[in-house]
Amino acid sequence: MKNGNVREFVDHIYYGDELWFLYEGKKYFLEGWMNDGRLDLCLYEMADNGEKYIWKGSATQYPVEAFLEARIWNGKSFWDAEQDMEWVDA
Amino acid sequence: MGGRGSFAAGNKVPYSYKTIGTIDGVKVLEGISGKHGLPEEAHSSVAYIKLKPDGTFHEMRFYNEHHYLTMEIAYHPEPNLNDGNRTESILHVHEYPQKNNFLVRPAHRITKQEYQKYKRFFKGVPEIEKW
Repeated sequence: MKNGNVREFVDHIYYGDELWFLYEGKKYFLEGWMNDGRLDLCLYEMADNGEKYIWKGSATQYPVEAFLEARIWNGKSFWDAEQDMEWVDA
Repeated sequence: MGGRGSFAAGNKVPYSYKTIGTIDGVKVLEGISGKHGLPEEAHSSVAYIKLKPDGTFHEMRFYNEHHYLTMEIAYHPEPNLNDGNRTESILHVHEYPQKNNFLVRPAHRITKQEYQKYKRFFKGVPEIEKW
């Protein structure tokens, strides 16, 4: 993770915090969102018609592992791709 | 300025933020060494502001007398509040109704009353004229 500590970044995911990062020239926005009492994680590519992913959590936990393990980064998981991600401020 | 519940308990903790200015008496903070966002607790202020890299208002956090985060106003695209729009920045509010529970933070677009109350802090944000 460029411009930040990846462990700290992941810690923020557990709280559903708003996170902005770049990957291969695209900007992404990750945040927790409560849907019908369920804590979900939403990932948006911040461009018109960009990608969108939602992982459904439980009433008490965001689905962090599902996000970390999803092979959505050119077939790689977050842990395999994080060194090419840059943490940015919006 | 500690982390979530991680009071320093007398131990020396490195600073994570520096004050780079004020807006109407509220400190504007900038993270140090890759620190992002604003503190989850505040021990010397009731609010902090963070600006975007271009100097525009990004977010403001409010803390109660017990130092807990109670509310956050942010300005950026929020697809969940704007019909999926990912390019238009909007002013919106996250509330933290439960003491030291950062998981539950219901959000809404800023109300006219909230806007009128806090707009003096929204540096560089276009005026909202229609409600």
